[in-house]
Amino acid sequence: MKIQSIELENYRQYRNKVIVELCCDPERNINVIQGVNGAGKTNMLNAINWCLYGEEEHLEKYSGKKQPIINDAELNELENGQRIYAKVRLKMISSDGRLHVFERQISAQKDDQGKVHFDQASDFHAFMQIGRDMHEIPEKEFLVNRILPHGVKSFFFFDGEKLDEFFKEEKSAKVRDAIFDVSQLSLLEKAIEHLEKSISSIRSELKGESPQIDQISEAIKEVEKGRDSCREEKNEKEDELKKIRSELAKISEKLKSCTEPLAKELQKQRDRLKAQLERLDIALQEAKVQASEKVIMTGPSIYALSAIRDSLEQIAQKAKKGEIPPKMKETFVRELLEKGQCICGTDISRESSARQKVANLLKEVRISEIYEELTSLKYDLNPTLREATEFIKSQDILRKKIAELEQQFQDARIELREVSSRLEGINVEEIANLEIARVRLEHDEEKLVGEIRLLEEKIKNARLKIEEFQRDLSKELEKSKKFQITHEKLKLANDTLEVFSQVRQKLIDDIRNTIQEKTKNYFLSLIWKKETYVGVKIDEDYNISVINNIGSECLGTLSAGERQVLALSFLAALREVSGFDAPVVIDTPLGRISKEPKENIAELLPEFLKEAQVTMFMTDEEYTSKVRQKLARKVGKEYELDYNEEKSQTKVKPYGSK
Amino acid sequence: MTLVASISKRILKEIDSQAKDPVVKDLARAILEFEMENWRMEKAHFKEQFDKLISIQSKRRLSPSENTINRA
Repeated sequence: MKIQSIELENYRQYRNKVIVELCCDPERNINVIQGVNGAGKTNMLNAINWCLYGEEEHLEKYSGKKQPIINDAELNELENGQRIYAKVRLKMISSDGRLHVFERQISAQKDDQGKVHFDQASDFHAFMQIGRDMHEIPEKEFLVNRILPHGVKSFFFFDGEKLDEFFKEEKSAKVRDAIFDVSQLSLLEKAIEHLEKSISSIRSELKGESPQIDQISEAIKEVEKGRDSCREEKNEKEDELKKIRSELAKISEKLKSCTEPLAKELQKQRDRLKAQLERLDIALQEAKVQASEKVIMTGPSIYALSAIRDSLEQIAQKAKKGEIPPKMKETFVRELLEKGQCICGTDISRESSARQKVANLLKEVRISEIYEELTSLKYDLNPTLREATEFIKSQDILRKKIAELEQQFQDARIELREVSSRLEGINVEEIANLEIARVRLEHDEEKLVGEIRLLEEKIKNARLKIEEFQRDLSKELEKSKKFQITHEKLKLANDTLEVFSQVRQKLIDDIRNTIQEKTKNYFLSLIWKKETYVGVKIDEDYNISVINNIGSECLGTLSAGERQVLALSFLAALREVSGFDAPVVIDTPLGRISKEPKENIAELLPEFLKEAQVTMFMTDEEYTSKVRQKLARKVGKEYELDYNEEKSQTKVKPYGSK
Repeated sequence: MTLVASISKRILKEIDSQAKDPVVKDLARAILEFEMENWRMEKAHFKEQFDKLISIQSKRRLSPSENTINRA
């Protein structure tokens, strides 16, 4: 889907009708609209959002307060009793060439006393080309949702300057929410929650039919009750955690920006220590997993180690005693006894001391006869013994590594506590109070994280218990034809629930990994410090981290421009993974990037977003002659915004025209 | 107008691959479509709608002849 044109009429500084036609040619997928701050770039992004969703989320960027949508000058010139409207119309072309038109308008009227009354709600219409004609679509919100669902739009229409804030606070929650929104996992979660409730309601149809069924249903109900209360508690605790983390981020920022140099320095030191602790924690967990995986793999050999050694020892002793290898075969001795003649010619056909001697040989020979088995056992046991011995050595190394990491972890924690004590001791009341509040919040944060983990475990156990009861219930229901329909409904609903759960888990893993890989590739291509950064990771808890060339996590030390590049890479990855064929509109994409990297990004960005039509609103500082030169090959349309403050009006003209 | 088109292709593809039974597949899609329609709405009457969908689809399982006519 591409935007063919944006029509603005009396919308904010766009007085009368202004039409901006965009290029839809895939070979020239970039459109540039350049203007100084305040000329109306952000308002054009707002206009797109407002037209499609009735929202203007980037409104307060410069003004800090909400202004009327209708153009100021037009409102001022309005005469008593007169009505005026502001309108935005978007013409869009789908991939099959079908034209879509969306238009939203809002009006205002000046009463006889000269007071302006604005409409409470805007009027929204959608039209779609069917055959050669345009038809109005009554389900207009559905049509917009089909192109780009509301929850996903902020990854397609966004403000580049705000990207810097994306990874500043509440990082993991933002990454998780973004991944869940863009992949519609939240939709799937809602479906699971509702389906579970429906299953419970179907089960209640069985009440009073048989004591066994009642008993199982009651047991399931009880577990479900516990699970639901755990979920509720978990949601509450997660909200609480969000608030605490946001508070912590604010305190951190305040401490970093305070004028007291020691506090500033200590805060920086704390960031460094925290990054170190995170890195050590990851390394520690990895080493522990490695150690336990080895135990699982080599466990059987370890348990049998003394038995293996004993067996090999016994084999060696038998060889030493000359019992193995065999001197003669048992069959040979038996043949002599049967024939009644020894190889030396002595008659042994009757009971005699000579026959007894030959018969005694049988006992020795029998031991020797197991020689072959002992030999193969020896060959089988040796590699197992080697594996077990090597395991002990490698476990020793791992144990030492874990102990060292634990020590480093403890040292860093002690150092962190010292930093905190020093901050608390600074003789500036505000700083000391901030630090005391921070310590208390961190303590609460740690406690909440532990409680949430525990609740997650309880929810998981409840699910397993319900599945077990469900199987019992199914067996009971199969006994009677009376419950055939309810049984079938339960089976179907449970089968569907199972599919939803499988899909959810698979998507969570797949999407996180894909986004991690794509973000990493984009970030490493766009970033100018090629030697410094080597990777980007998104772990199972949605913590995003940037890895530097010495293997350390360094997100906290990225500059504003670097954070913007990371966010841009993350958004490009999200857009690609989402699968929505929607246009991308970016306000000030290179706002925080310094000169040289700007050109590099300008050159690479169209490549990353090559499947999409990209419209960029840039200041003259962003759209430099070099950036323009780098983008030239891909730019379809270029405009300039010309703002006249006196007339409170912006005109759009072709780039470079007088 | 169908809302299936606004559900992520990835989810639909995964449902198609995980649900071996066409009845389960249809029910899963119908439920998601309902959720999409009522996304972020305060009160969605999912119970009645889900019960209806499950009843229709379970009848298809009980009488396979209805397979072709009773798709939700």
